[in-house]
Amino acid sequence: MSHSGDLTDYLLLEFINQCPYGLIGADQTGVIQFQNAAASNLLTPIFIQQDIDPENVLDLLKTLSHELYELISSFKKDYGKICDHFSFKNDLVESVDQYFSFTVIRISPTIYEYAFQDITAQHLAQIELNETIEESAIQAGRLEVSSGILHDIGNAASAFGAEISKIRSSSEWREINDLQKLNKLFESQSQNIDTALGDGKSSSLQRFVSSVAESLDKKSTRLTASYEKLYQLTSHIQEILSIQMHYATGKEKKDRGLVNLNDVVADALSIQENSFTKRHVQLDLNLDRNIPKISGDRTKLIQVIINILKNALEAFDESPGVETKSIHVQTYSSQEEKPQVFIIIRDNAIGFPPEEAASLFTRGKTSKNSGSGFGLYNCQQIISSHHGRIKIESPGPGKGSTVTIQFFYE
Amino acid sequence: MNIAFDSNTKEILDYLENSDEKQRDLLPFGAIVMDPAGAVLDYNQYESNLSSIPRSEAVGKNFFEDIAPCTKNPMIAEKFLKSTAPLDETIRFIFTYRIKPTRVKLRLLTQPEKRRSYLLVSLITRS
Repeated sequence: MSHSGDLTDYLLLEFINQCPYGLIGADQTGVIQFQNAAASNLLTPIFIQQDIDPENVLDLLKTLSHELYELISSFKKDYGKICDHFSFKNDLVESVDQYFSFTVIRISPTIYEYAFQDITAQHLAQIELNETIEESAIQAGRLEVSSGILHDIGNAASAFGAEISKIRSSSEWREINDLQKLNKLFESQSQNIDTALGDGKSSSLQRFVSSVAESLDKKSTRLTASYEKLYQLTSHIQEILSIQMHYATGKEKKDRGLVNLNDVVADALSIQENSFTKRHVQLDLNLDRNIPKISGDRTKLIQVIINILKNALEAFDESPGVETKSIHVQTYSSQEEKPQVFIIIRDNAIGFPPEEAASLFTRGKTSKNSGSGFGLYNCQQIISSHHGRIKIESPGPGKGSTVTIQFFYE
Repeated sequence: MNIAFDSNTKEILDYLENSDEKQRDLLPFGAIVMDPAGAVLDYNQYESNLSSIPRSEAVGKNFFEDIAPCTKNPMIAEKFLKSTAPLDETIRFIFTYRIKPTRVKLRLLTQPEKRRSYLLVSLITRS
């Protein structure tokens, strides 16, 4: 190497020159004595654009950040740190967001050190992080409110259920027995009644009382059936609320438990039951009771099945020509290659071109007219996190679609 | 032929393409010859004197990364590296020669079809 001067001096200068932070040494009036490459890169375009003397850093700061300029100009001590990571936005270029951070130290009465960097990337990342935190807080608040509402509805449903249960158990129709007893009395006293009221009056009275008793008995049977139905519906509401509350709290368990996929399917179907009824969609359920449990997150798996059922149900909205709308849900296990459990959800709705199948799992992709395209993407993420596989197939438009979820177990 | 920093494009490109190292050493301004990626192919005497970097050390290095990192910005490096059409542009700049800020005029010349770029450097003396 044939540099003039001492090698150490040269390396030290190169060390400073190639430092990724902008470094400027200037006198008390701002005249630059030395600066490194990063300083040139960061400030020269602004100097030139603003037509400011490129040898005076204070002239630039007066325009770039008057507050920082004032801090430096009003510093009275002969040495010391004037500011530490003073950050500000470059307002000189409106079209671009640029943020700087400056540390200024007065090293001696005549030398000021300016160390600075472009913190735009960090600043924007911080803004994004703050927005995410804020959104999470809002989401947590919403969940708390939802959870509270679900809890209140649950309490009301419990009270309603208890009342129904009370009515059901207390609804013995003693009047029917009394009427029957009365009829027996008429029967035993028929001669006396006929004598007192006239011939045939006893049997007339008996027929009348029997008819009233029979009518009351029919009403009693109908009301008991209604109470029973109301009781079942209330139980169903409570069951759905319980699942929803578990889902609304959304706390992810670190330790996964053993999950029965039939229970997952049943819970998801309970939540979607109303949508089946509303759309007149028949459910063809074929659950293998002997499938083994898998290790997993029950809440997230319910979320997947709900999403797939919802997609299948909504697909019927776009296929009005289907006469018998049906969704077939099946679970089974297999020992082929590896021990596996399958969930199959098949509909006879609108379907899609076969070549679109793979792209439906892409984030933001959807085959529905209205849809965000995040549903199937999220489903795939959840199934992948369970080391499982999910695929969706369709023979073509108008020919329905089939979702196959496959889990492996030891 | 008298070649100056601000000679017209054809004249200066003809000279830079057809001259040898010794002839380029006689130029009254810095002349750096690069390939399209910024690798230095020649570094004339005037520029060596300004930067204290001899030709032998500069040739083969990446100009924007290893020789003059102060040029690694949208005003200079990006214009060179992204140039797909011939470029001839002159700008004012502050070079940091061994951290000494130095006012310069830079002329950016590229010939993408010949895979050659030239950076000419002229000192600005304060009036």
